[in-house]
Amino acid sequence: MEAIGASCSEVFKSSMCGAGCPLLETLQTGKPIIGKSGYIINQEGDKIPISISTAVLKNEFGEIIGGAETFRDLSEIWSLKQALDKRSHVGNLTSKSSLMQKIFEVIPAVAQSPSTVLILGDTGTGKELIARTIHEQSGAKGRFVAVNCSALPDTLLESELFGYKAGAFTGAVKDKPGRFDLAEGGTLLLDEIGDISPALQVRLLRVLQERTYEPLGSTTTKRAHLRIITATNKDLGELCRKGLFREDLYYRINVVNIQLPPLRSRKEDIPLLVEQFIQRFNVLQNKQIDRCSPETISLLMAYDWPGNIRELENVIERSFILCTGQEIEIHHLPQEILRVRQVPVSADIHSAHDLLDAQAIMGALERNNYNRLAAAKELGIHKATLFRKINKLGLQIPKSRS
Amino acid sequence: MGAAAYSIQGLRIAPVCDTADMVLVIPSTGNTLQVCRHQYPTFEEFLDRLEELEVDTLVCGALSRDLQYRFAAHEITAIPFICGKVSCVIEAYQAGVNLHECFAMPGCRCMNGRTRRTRRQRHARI
Repeated sequence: MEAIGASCSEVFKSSMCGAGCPLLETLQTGKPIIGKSGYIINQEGDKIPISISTAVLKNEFGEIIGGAETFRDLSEIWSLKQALDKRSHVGNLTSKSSLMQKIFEVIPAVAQSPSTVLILGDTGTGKELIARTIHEQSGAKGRFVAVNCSALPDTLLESELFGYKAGAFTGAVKDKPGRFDLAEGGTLLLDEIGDISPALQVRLLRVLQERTYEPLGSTTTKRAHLRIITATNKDLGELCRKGLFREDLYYRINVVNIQLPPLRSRKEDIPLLVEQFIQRFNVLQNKQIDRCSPETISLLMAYDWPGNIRELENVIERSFILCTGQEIEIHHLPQEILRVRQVPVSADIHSAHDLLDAQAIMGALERNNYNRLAAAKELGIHKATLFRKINKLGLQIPKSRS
Repeated sequence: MGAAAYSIQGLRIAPVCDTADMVLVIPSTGNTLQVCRHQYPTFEEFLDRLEELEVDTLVCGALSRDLQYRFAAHEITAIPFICGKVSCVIEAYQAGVNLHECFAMPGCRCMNGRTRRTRRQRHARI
């Protein structure tokens, strides 16, 4: 009874209601839609995956008099799909790389434990994203707060982390909660932990051990009910040996350790990441770019990515600015990536493979002063195979310097 | 009292908050403004913006539990499963009317004014 006369979108509560209404599309085009996926939200707030099919209703004269919509509950299929996807997805993280899948396997267990986590990895490998995923998977009701420890001078960092009371120092006119306060019940990420001063290391050690802290100028102790995740691109073990990082703090934060591989070790993820960035920048920059051309992907795969995923993201962002069509082409890429283009690139699926081959061969030849026999030995292939590949790829090799 | 936000689609409350793009923020003092969710790269940044505007209540249509928890983490209490003309809902809310009695979405009336409460809200009431 409640549904009669009500708007269908308010009855169905489907993700497709509104701008993407399939029934409206069918009524406008006269064409049926079959199996469009989405979800509905039930009264308990659960998302129920569904597929929708639509058709027009016509009278005996062939005139459209309305439309029909059928819903199919996909909960069972979805749960099976999720079980399969679990191996390549965790939260917002997606990867096909075996190195990342090992990390994905431990994240759910890590998320459920309250232990301190240390995330190691080169700059731009996604340390904050991993920390955020651990927070989201943990089901913690508090918020995720990230602090870059190297971005602030020591005195400021202390007040930023622990907060201060009014009158604690000149200019402190009212109480300010610290990041520990803001992350109460949630997760605090201390990024670039390797850069904090010895004095702050001592304070942090105390918080980690006692789970208590005092805001600046306060005489009362506060309890810290939160998970702490630390991240760094530095070798903390080495810093400990040099006496720059406290060993006791290192052992305290290194309860669970996640080592993120650089992008050059997981190049199979590049097409996937590119696709994600394209979707993201389409929304942010209000563009309709569909994809990268196969040649562009080949070049992206051949590049070494010293700046890792952040660099890839910047390259795609730059290409978005220059690209006026629907496809990102080679000429939209920056010079440093175009430099890896040593062989003519063809637009077939083997071009990425060829580029990688060419790069490996050129690298081996350069290291061995263009001695083909030595290069073939280094590459672990027969010299005849090397000659065949050089000819096939059309590489211009200078004569051996020796 | 903080600001109230309304998840909208045209002149009505958006049927599904999870996919809605526009939020109308009515502060206790000052001008009404619209916040477009997809202007923010991440949902967290959108929540930060709402927090900056001192939003403490969100009136919306269907809302998934995950999203409700995320609003709650930013001290925003959701009043979900509301439908109707935005102007009428705002008027009723400002007059202190129980929105679930007059503006509940079809099939959600049995909630009789109860919203799904998060653990934080339950504790707050105690």
